[in-house]
Amino acid sequence: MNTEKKENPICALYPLTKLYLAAVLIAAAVLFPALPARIACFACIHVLAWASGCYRAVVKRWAGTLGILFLIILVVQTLFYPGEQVLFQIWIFQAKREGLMLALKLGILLLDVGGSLIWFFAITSEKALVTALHKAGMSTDMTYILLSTLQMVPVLKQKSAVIMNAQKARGLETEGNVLVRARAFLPVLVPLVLSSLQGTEERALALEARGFSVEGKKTHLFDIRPGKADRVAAVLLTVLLLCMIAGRVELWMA
Amino acid sequence: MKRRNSAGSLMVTLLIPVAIAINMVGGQMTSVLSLPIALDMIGVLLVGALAGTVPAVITAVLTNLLNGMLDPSWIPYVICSFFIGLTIGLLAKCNMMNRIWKAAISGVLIALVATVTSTFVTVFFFGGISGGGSAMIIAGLLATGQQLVQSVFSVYIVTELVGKLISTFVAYFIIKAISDRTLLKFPYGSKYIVRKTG
Repeated sequence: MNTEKKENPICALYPLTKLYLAAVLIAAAVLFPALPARIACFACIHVLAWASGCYRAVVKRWAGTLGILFLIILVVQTLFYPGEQVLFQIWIFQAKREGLMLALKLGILLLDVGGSLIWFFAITSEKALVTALHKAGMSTDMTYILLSTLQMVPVLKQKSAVIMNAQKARGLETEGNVLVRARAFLPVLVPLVLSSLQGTEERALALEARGFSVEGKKTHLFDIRPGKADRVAAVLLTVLLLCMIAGRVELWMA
Repeated sequence: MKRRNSAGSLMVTLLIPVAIAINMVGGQMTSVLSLPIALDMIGVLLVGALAGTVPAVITAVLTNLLNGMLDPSWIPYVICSFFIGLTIGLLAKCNMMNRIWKAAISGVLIALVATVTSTFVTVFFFGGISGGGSAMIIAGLLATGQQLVQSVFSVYIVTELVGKLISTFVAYFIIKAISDRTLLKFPYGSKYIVRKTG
Protein backbone atom coordinates (compact mmCIF):
# COMPACT_ATOMS: atom_id res chain seq x y z
CA MET A 1 0.00 0.00 0.00
CA ASN A 2 2.72 2.42 1.02
CA THR A 3 5.09 1.72 -1.87
CA GLU A 4 2.19 2.09 -4.28
CA LYS A 5 1.39 5.51 -2.86
CA LYS A 6 5.00 6.67 -3.17
CA GLU A 7 4.89 6.20 -6.94
CA ASN A 8 1.99 8.59 -7.38
CA PRO A 9 3.43 12.13 -7.84
CA ILE A 10 0.53 13.81 -6.01
CA CYS A 11 0.64 11.47 -3.01
CA ALA A 12 4.42 11.88 -2.82
CA LEU A 13 4.16 15.64 -2.24
CA TYR A 14 5.10 17.09 1.15
CA PRO A 15 2.07 17.00 3.51
CA LEU A 16 1.96 20.78 3.91
CA THR A 17 1.95 21.24 0.11
CA LYS A 18 -1.06 18.96 -0.11
CA LEU A 19 -2.71 20.87 2.73
CA TYR A 20 -2.08 24.11 0.82
CA LEU A 21 -3.70 22.58 -2.26
CA ALA A 22 -6.76 21.60 -0.21
CA ALA A 23 -6.89 25.11 1.28
CA VAL A 24 -6.78 26.71 -2.20
CA LEU A 25 -9.69 24.49 -3.28
CA ILE A 26 -11.68 25.54 -0.21
CA ALA A 27 -10.85 29.19 -0.90
CA ALA A 28 -12.08 28.76 -4.49
CA ALA A 29 -15.40 27.34 -3.29
CA VAL A 30 -15.88 30.11 -0.72
CA LEU A 31 -14.74 33.01 -2.94
CA PHE A 32 -17.01 32.23 -5.89
CA PRO A 33 -20.53 31.62 -4.61
CA ALA A 34 -22.16 31.12 -8.04
CA LEU A 35 -23.57 27.62 -8.50
CA PRO A 36 -21.60 26.72 -11.69
CA ALA A 37 -18.32 27.76 -10.03
CA ARG A 38 -19.04 25.56 -7.05
CA ILE A 39 -19.93 22.60 -9.25
CA ALA A 40 -16.70 23.16 -11.20
CA CYS A 41 -14.77 23.14 -7.93
CA PHE A 42 -16.49 19.89 -6.99
CA ALA A 43 -15.45 18.42 -10.34
CA CYS A 44 -11.85 19.51 -9.64
CA ILE A 45 -11.85 17.53 -6.40
CA HIS A 46 -13.07 14.46 -8.26
CA VAL A 47 -10.30 14.82 -10.84
CA LEU A 48 -7.72 15.28 -8.07
CA ALA A 49 -8.98 12.23 -6.20
CA TRP A 50 -8.85 10.19 -9.37
CA ALA A 51 -5.36 11.48 -10.25
CA SER A 52 -4.00 10.61 -6.83
CA GLY A 53 -5.30 7.06 -7.16
CA CYS A 54 -7.67 6.99 -4.22
CA TYR A 55 -10.92 7.76 -6.02
CA ARG A 56 -12.91 4.85 -4.60
CA ALA A 57 -11.83 5.45 -1.01
CA VAL A 58 -12.61 9.18 -1.20
CA VAL A 59 -16.03 8.70 -2.80
CA LYS A 60 -16.94 5.96 -0.34
CA ARG A 61 -16.04 8.06 2.69
CA TRP A 62 -17.68 11.09 1.14
CA ALA A 63 -20.97 9.29 0.43
CA GLY A 64 -21.24 7.94 3.97
CA THR A 65 -20.89 11.33 5.63
CA LEU A 66 -21.40 14.45 3.51
CA GLY A 67 -23.50 12.74 0.86
CA ILE A 68 -26.19 11.91 3.43
CA LEU A 69 -26.01 15.40 4.92
CA PHE A 70 -26.37 16.86 1.41
CA LEU A 71 -29.52 14.82 0.77
CA ILE A 72 -31.06 15.82 4.11
CA ILE A 73 -30.33 19.50 3.47
CA LEU A 74 -31.70 19.22 -0.06
CA VAL A 75 -34.99 17.63 1.00
CA VAL A 76 -35.62 19.74 4.09
CA GLN A 77 -34.68 23.14 2.62
CA THR A 78 -36.59 22.51 -0.62
CA LEU A 79 -39.74 21.59 1.23
CA PHE A 80 -39.64 23.96 4.16
CA TYR A 81 -37.79 27.11 3.09
CA PRO A 82 -40.29 29.97 2.73
CA GLY A 83 -40.64 30.86 -0.95
CA GLU A 84 -43.06 31.89 -3.65
CA GLN A 85 -42.26 29.82 -6.73
CA VAL A 86 -43.73 26.35 -6.27
CA LEU A 87 -42.02 23.70 -8.38
CA PHE A 88 -44.20 20.71 -7.52
CA GLN A 89 -46.33 19.42 -4.69
CA ILE A 90 -46.26 16.13 -2.80
CA TRP A 91 -49.23 15.62 -0.50
CA ILE A 92 -49.19 18.76 1.72
CA PHE A 93 -45.55 19.61 1.03
CA GLN A 94 -44.64 22.20 -1.58
CA ALA A 95 -41.21 22.12 -3.18
CA LYS A 96 -40.05 25.69 -3.67
CA ARG A 97 -37.49 27.05 -6.10
CA GLU A 98 -35.89 29.39 -3.56
CA GLY A 99 -35.37 26.53 -1.14
CA LEU A 100 -33.93 24.28 -3.82
CA MET A 101 -31.43 26.94 -4.95
CA LEU A 102 -30.38 27.68 -1.38
CA ALA A 103 -29.97 23.97 -0.64
CA LEU A 104 -27.91 23.39 -3.77
CA LYS A 105 -25.62 26.35 -3.12
CA LEU A 106 -25.07 25.49 0.53
CA GLY A 107 -24.93 21.74 -0.03
CA ILE A 108 -22.38 21.92 -2.82
CA LEU A 109 -20.26 24.33 -0.78
CA LEU A 110 -20.25 21.75 2.03
CA LEU A 111 -19.35 19.03 -0.47
CA ASP A 112 -16.49 21.19 -1.80
CA VAL A 113 -15.02 22.09 1.57
CA GLY A 114 -15.55 18.66 3.08
CA GLY A 115 -14.51 16.86 -0.08
CA SER A 116 -11.13 18.57 -0.24
CA LEU A 117 -10.49 17.76 3.42
CA ILE A 118 -11.50 14.11 2.91
CA TRP A 119 -9.18 13.95 -0.09
CA PHE A 120 -6.33 15.48 1.91
CA PHE A 121 -6.64 13.04 4.79
CA ALA A 122 -7.10 10.10 2.45
CA ILE A 123 -3.73 10.62 0.75
CA THR A 124 -1.71 11.88 3.73
CA SER A 125 -0.44 9.52 6.38
CA GLU A 126 -0.93 10.83 9.91
CA LYS A 127 2.71 10.19 10.73
CA ALA A 128 3.92 12.30 7.80
CA LEU A 129 1.49 15.10 8.61
CA VAL A 130 2.50 15.26 12.26
CA THR A 131 6.20 15.17 11.37
CA ALA A 132 5.68 18.04 8.93
CA LEU A 133 3.76 20.02 11.54
CA HIS A 134 6.52 19.43 14.08
CA LYS A 135 9.12 20.70 11.63
CA ALA A 136 6.92 23.74 11.00
CA GLY A 137 7.26 24.62 14.66
CA MET A 138 4.59 22.72 16.57
CA SER A 139 5.63 21.83 20.12
CA THR A 140 6.70 18.30 21.05
CA ASP A 141 3.83 18.01 23.54
CA MET A 142 1.27 18.81 20.87
CA THR A 143 2.71 16.39 18.32
CA TYR A 144 2.85 13.69 20.97
CA ILE A 145 -0.81 14.33 21.85
CA LEU A 146 -1.84 14.08 18.19
CA LEU A 147 0.02 10.89 17.39
CA SER A 148 -0.77 9.23 20.67
CA THR A 149 -4.50 9.96 20.25
CA LEU A 150 -4.54 8.42 16.80
CA GLN A 151 -3.00 5.27 18.23
CA MET A 152 -5.14 5.26 21.35
CA VAL A 153 -8.58 5.44 19.73
CA PRO A 154 -8.59 1.95 18.19
CA VAL A 155 -6.97 0.49 21.34
CA LEU A 156 -9.64 1.97 23.61
CA LYS A 157 -12.43 0.93 21.26
CA GLN A 158 -11.19 -2.63 21.44
CA LYS A 159 -10.82 -2.40 25.21
CA SER A 160 -14.38 -1.13 25.61
CA ALA A 161 -15.66 -4.13 23.62
CA VAL A 162 -13.68 -6.45 25.90
CA ILE A 163 -15.05 -4.76 29.03
CA MET A 164 -18.58 -4.90 27.66
CA ASN A 165 -18.25 -8.64 27.04
CA ALA A 166 -16.78 -9.17 30.50
CA GLN A 167 -19.65 -7.27 32.13
CA LYS A 168 -22.18 -9.19 30.03
CA ALA A 169 -20.63 -12.41 31.32
CA ARG A 170 -21.28 -11.11 34.85
CA GLY A 171 -24.92 -10.57 33.98
CA LEU A 172 -25.03 -6.95 32.79
CA GLU A 173 -28.06 -6.26 30.60
CA THR A 174 -27.16 -4.50 27.36
CA GLU A 175 -30.43 -5.14 25.59
CA GLY A 176 -33.92 -4.05 26.52
CA ASN A 177 -35.60 -0.69 26.89
CA VAL A 178 -33.75 2.64 26.94
CA LEU A 179 -33.34 2.71 30.72
CA VAL A 180 -31.83 -0.79 30.84
CA ARG A 181 -29.40 0.07 28.05
CA ALA A 182 -28.51 3.40 29.66
CA ARG A 183 -27.73 1.62 32.91
CA ALA A 184 -25.11 -0.44 31.06
CA PHE A 185 -23.16 2.71 30.20
CA LEU A 186 -21.40 3.36 33.50
CA PRO A 187 -20.24 -0.23 34.23
CA VAL A 188 -18.44 -0.20 30.88
CA LEU A 189 -17.09 3.34 30.90
CA VAL A 190 -15.79 3.50 34.48
CA PRO A 191 -13.41 0.49 34.22
CA LEU A 192 -12.27 1.79 30.83
CA VAL A 193 -11.38 5.22 32.19
CA LEU A 194 -9.75 3.91 35.36
CA SER A 195 -7.55 1.41 33.55
CA SER A 196 -6.58 4.04 30.98
CA LEU A 197 -5.60 6.46 33.75
CA GLN A 198 -3.46 3.76 35.30
CA GLY A 199 -1.84 3.26 31.90
CA THR A 200 -1.16 7.00 31.78
CA GLU A 201 0.98 6.79 34.87
CA GLU A 202 3.04 3.96 33.43
CA ARG A 203 3.46 5.83 30.16
CA ALA A 204 4.66 8.92 32.03
CA LEU A 205 7.42 6.85 33.62
CA ALA A 206 8.34 5.25 30.30
CA LEU A 207 8.50 8.61 28.53
CA GLU A 208 10.55 10.25 31.28
CA ALA A 209 12.99 7.32 31.19
CA ARG A 210 13.49 8.10 27.47
CA GLY A 211 14.07 11.80 28.08
CA PHE A 212 10.74 13.19 26.81
CA SER A 213 11.00 16.34 28.93
CA VAL A 214 14.70 16.91 28.32
CA GLU A 215 15.44 20.31 26.84
CA GLY A 216 17.45 20.54 23.66
CA LYS A 217 17.38 19.49 20.04
CA LYS A 218 15.79 16.17 19.21
CA THR A 219 16.39 13.91 16.24
CA HIS A 220 13.78 12.09 14.19
CA LEU A 221 13.65 8.40 13.43
CA PHE A 222 11.14 9.10 10.65
CA ASP A 223 12.03 12.05 8.45
CA ILE A 224 10.58 13.72 5.37
CA ARG A 225 11.53 16.90 3.54
CA PRO A 226 9.97 19.00 0.82
CA GLY A 227 11.42 18.33 -2.64
CA LYS A 228 11.67 20.24 -5.91
CA ALA A 229 8.11 19.37 -6.92
CA ASP A 230 6.87 20.96 -3.69
CA ARG A 231 8.56 24.29 -4.40
CA VAL A 232 7.09 24.36 -7.92
CA ALA A 233 3.65 23.41 -6.62
CA ALA A 234 3.78 26.05 -3.89
CA VAL A 235 4.62 28.81 -6.42
CA LEU A 236 1.88 27.66 -8.81
CA LEU A 237 -0.71 27.47 -6.01
CA THR A 238 0.20 30.94 -4.74
CA VAL A 239 -0.16 32.37 -8.26
CA LEU A 240 -3.53 30.62 -8.60
CA LEU A 241 -4.70 31.90 -5.22
CA LEU A 242 -3.68 35.49 -6.07
CA CYS A 243 -5.48 35.22 -9.44
CA MET A 244 -8.60 34.03 -7.66
CA ILE A 245 -8.50 36.88 -5.16
CA ALA A 246 -7.93 39.39 -8.00
CA GLY A 247 -10.85 37.90 -9.93
CA ARG A 248 -13.06 38.09 -6.87
CA VAL A 249 -12.13 41.74 -6.25
CA GLU A 250 -12.87 42.56 -9.88
CA LEU A 251 -16.28 40.86 -9.71
CA TRP A 252 -16.97 42.76 -6.55
CA MET A 253 -15.94 46.12 -8.01
CA ALA A 254 -17.98 45.63 -11.20
CA MET B 1 9.95 26.35 31.43
CA LYS B 2 10.13 25.01 34.94
CA ARG B 3 6.47 23.99 34.85
CA ARG B 4 7.01 22.09 31.63
CA ASN B 5 9.31 19.70 33.46
CA SER B 6 7.06 19.07 36.43
CA ALA B 7 5.42 15.68 36.61
CA GLY B 8 1.95 17.23 36.85
CA SER B 9 2.23 18.82 33.44
CA LEU B 10 3.43 15.61 31.81
CA MET B 11 0.50 13.74 33.34
CA VAL B 12 -1.84 16.32 31.80
CA THR B 13 -0.18 15.92 28.40
CA LEU B 14 -0.72 12.19 28.69
CA LEU B 15 -4.30 12.60 29.94
CA ILE B 16 -5.41 14.50 26.82
CA PRO B 17 -5.06 11.61 24.32
CA VAL B 18 -6.88 9.29 26.73
CA ALA B 19 -9.67 11.83 27.11
CA ILE B 20 -10.05 12.30 23.35
CA ALA B 21 -10.23 8.54 22.93
CA ILE B 22 -12.85 8.39 25.72
CA ASN B 23 -14.90 11.03 23.89
CA MET B 24 -14.84 8.92 20.76
CA VAL B 25 -15.51 5.64 22.57
CA GLY B 26 -18.36 7.29 24.49
CA GLY B 27 -19.87 8.40 21.20
CA GLN B 28 -19.44 4.91 19.81
CA MET B 29 -20.93 3.27 22.92
CA THR B 30 -24.10 5.34 22.68
CA SER B 31 -24.57 3.93 19.20
CA VAL B 32 -23.72 0.34 20.30
CA LEU B 33 -26.29 0.60 23.11
CA SER B 34 -28.49 2.61 20.70
CA LEU B 35 -29.13 5.37 23.22
CA PRO B 36 -30.90 8.39 21.76
CA ILE B 37 -28.52 10.96 23.31
CA ALA B 38 -25.04 12.22 22.49
CA LEU B 39 -22.48 11.42 25.18
CA ASP B 40 -19.39 12.41 23.23
CA MET B 41 -17.99 15.06 25.58
CA ILE B 42 -17.30 13.00 28.70
CA GLY B 43 -13.53 13.09 28.15
CA VAL B 44 -13.59 16.88 27.90
CA LEU B 45 -15.56 17.17 31.13
CA LEU B 46 -13.07 14.85 32.85
CA VAL B 47 -10.04 16.81 31.68
CA GLY B 48 -11.70 20.10 32.55
CA ALA B 49 -12.52 18.91 36.04
CA LEU B 50 -9.07 17.41 36.67
CA ALA B 51 -6.73 19.74 34.83
CA GLY B 52 -8.49 23.03 34.07
CA THR B 53 -9.30 25.22 31.12
CA VAL B 54 -6.39 24.98 28.68
CA PRO B 55 -6.18 21.14 28.55
CA ALA B 56 -9.99 20.96 28.33
CA VAL B 57 -10.05 23.31 25.35
CA ILE B 58 -7.23 21.37 23.63
CA THR B 59 -9.10 18.09 24.22
CA ALA B 60 -12.40 19.46 22.95
CA VAL B 61 -10.98 21.11 19.84
CA LEU B 62 -8.82 18.11 18.90
CA THR B 63 -11.76 15.73 19.35
CA ASN B 64 -13.69 17.65 16.72
CA LEU B 65 -10.72 18.04 14.38
CA LEU B 66 -9.83 14.34 14.54
CA ASN B 67 -13.45 13.30 14.03
CA GLY B 68 -13.45 15.79 11.18
CA MET B 69 -10.74 13.83 9.40
CA LEU B 70 -13.36 11.19 8.64
CA ASP B 71 -16.48 13.35 8.62
CA PRO B 72 -15.73 17.03 7.88
CA SER B 73 -19.18 18.14 9.07
CA TRP B 74 -17.70 17.89 12.60
CA ILE B 75 -15.23 20.70 11.92
CA PRO B 76 -17.50 23.79 12.24
CA TYR B 77 -18.59 22.48 15.65
CA VAL B 78 -15.05 23.19 16.85
CA ILE B 79 -16.53 26.52 17.99
CA CYS B 80 -18.95 24.69 20.33
CA SER B 81 -16.30 22.42 21.76
CA PHE B 82 -14.02 25.38 22.37
CA PHE B 83 -16.65 27.07 24.51
CA ILE B 84 -17.65 23.84 26.27
CA GLY B 85 -14.00 23.24 27.18
CA LEU B 86 -13.68 26.80 28.43
CA THR B 87 -16.85 26.52 30.52
CA ILE B 88 -15.99 23.23 32.23
CA GLY B 89 -12.47 24.47 32.97
CA LEU B 90 -13.75 27.63 34.64
CA LEU B 91 -16.46 25.73 36.53
CA ALA B 92 -13.89 23.27 37.87
CA LYS B 93 -11.66 26.15 38.91
CA CYS B 94 -14.58 27.51 40.98
CA ASN B 95 -15.02 24.10 42.67
CA MET B 96 -18.25 23.45 40.80
CA MET B 97 -17.65 19.74 40.18
CA ASN B 98 -16.96 18.33 43.65
CA ARG B 99 -20.56 17.90 44.93
CA ILE B 100 -23.39 16.28 43.05
CA TRP B 101 -25.69 19.34 43.25
CA LYS B 102 -22.85 21.55 42.01
CA ALA B 103 -22.27 19.11 39.16
CA ALA B 104 -25.97 19.42 38.27
CA ILE B 105 -25.68 23.22 38.07
CA SER B 106 -22.50 22.84 36.00
CA GLY B 107 -24.30 20.45 33.67
CA VAL B 108 -27.10 22.96 33.08
CA LEU B 109 -24.62 25.79 32.43
CA ILE B 110 -22.62 23.64 30.00
CA ALA B 111 -25.84 22.64 28.23
CA LEU B 112 -26.79 26.31 27.83
CA VAL B 113 -23.38 27.17 26.37
CA ALA B 114 -23.60 24.14 24.08
CA THR B 115 -27.10 25.06 22.92
CA VAL B 116 -26.26 28.66 22.06
CA THR B 117 -23.04 27.80 20.23
CA SER B 118 -24.39 24.79 18.35
CA THR B 119 -27.51 26.72 17.29
CA PHE B 120 -25.21 29.40 15.92
CA VAL B 121 -23.03 26.85 14.06
CA THR B 122 -25.97 24.90 12.65
CA VAL B 123 -27.75 28.01 11.41
CA PHE B 124 -24.64 29.81 10.16
CA PHE B 125 -22.78 26.92 8.49
CA PHE B 126 -25.53 24.46 7.59
CA GLY B 127 -28.56 26.73 7.12
CA GLY B 128 -30.28 25.15 10.11
CA ILE B 129 -30.17 21.51 9.07
CA SER B 130 -27.35 19.18 9.98
CA GLY B 131 -27.46 15.41 10.14
CA GLY B 132 -29.00 13.20 12.76
CA GLY B 133 -32.46 12.63 14.14
CA SER B 134 -32.83 16.24 15.33
CA ALA B 135 -32.95 17.40 11.69
CA MET B 136 -36.33 15.73 11.29
CA ILE B 137 -37.80 17.43 14.38
CA ILE B 138 -36.39 20.79 13.24
CA ALA B 139 -37.99 20.22 9.83
CA GLY B 140 -41.28 19.41 11.54
CA LEU B 141 -41.15 22.65 13.56
CA LEU B 142 -40.32 24.61 10.41
CA ALA B 143 -43.35 23.06 8.73
CA THR B 144 -45.63 24.37 11.48
CA GLY B 145 -44.42 27.86 10.62
CA GLN B 146 -41.78 28.42 13.32
CA GLN B 147 -38.80 30.66 12.66
CA LEU B 148 -35.56 28.86 11.73
CA VAL B 149 -33.42 30.00 14.68
CA GLN B 150 -36.20 29.32 17.18
CA SER B 151 -36.83 25.82 15.83
CA VAL B 152 -33.15 24.89 15.94
CA PHE B 153 -32.76 26.41 19.41
CA SER B 154 -35.80 24.69 20.90
CA VAL B 155 -34.72 21.28 19.64
CA TYR B 156 -31.12 21.71 20.77
CA ILE B 157 -31.99 22.97 24.23
CA VAL B 158 -33.81 19.70 24.95
CA THR B 159 -31.18 17.37 23.46
CA GLU B 160 -28.27 19.31 25.01
CA LEU B 161 -29.85 19.54 28.47
CA VAL B 162 -30.38 15.78 28.60
CA GLY B 163 -27.04 14.90 26.99
CA LYS B 164 -24.83 17.33 28.91
CA LEU B 165 -26.50 16.72 32.28
CA ILE B 166 -25.99 12.96 31.92
CA SER B 167 -22.41 13.50 30.69
CA THR B 168 -21.63 15.72 33.67
CA PHE B 169 -23.02 13.15 36.09
CA VAL B 170 -21.03 10.39 34.39
CA ALA B 171 -17.87 12.51 34.68
CA TYR B 172 -18.69 13.19 38.34
CA PHE B 173 -19.11 9.49 39.13
CA ILE B 174 -15.91 8.61 37.27
CA ILE B 175 -13.97 11.18 39.31
CA LYS B 176 -15.50 9.71 42.49
CA ALA B 177 -14.19 6.30 41.40
CA ILE B 178 -10.61 7.48 40.73
CA SER B 179 -8.28 6.65 43.58
CA ASP B 180 -6.82 9.50 45.67
CA ARG B 181 -3.24 8.72 44.72
CA THR B 182 -4.10 9.10 41.02
CA LEU B 183 -6.17 12.23 41.62
CA LEU B 184 -3.22 13.93 43.31
CA LYS B 185 -1.19 13.72 40.12
CA PHE B 186 -3.50 16.21 38.39
CA PRO B 187 -3.59 19.98 39.01
CA TYR B 188 -7.18 20.09 40.34
CA GLY B 189 -7.17 16.57 41.77
CA SER B 190 -7.00 17.67 45.41
CA LYS B 191 -10.41 19.35 45.02
CA TYR B 192 -12.04 15.92 44.84
CA ILE B 193 -10.36 14.26 47.79
CA VAL B 194 -12.67 13.97 50.75
CA ARG B 195 -10.94 14.29 54.11
CA LYS B 196 -11.57 11.20 56.15
CA THR B 197 -12.32 11.85 59.80
CA GLY B 198 -11.75 9.39 62.62
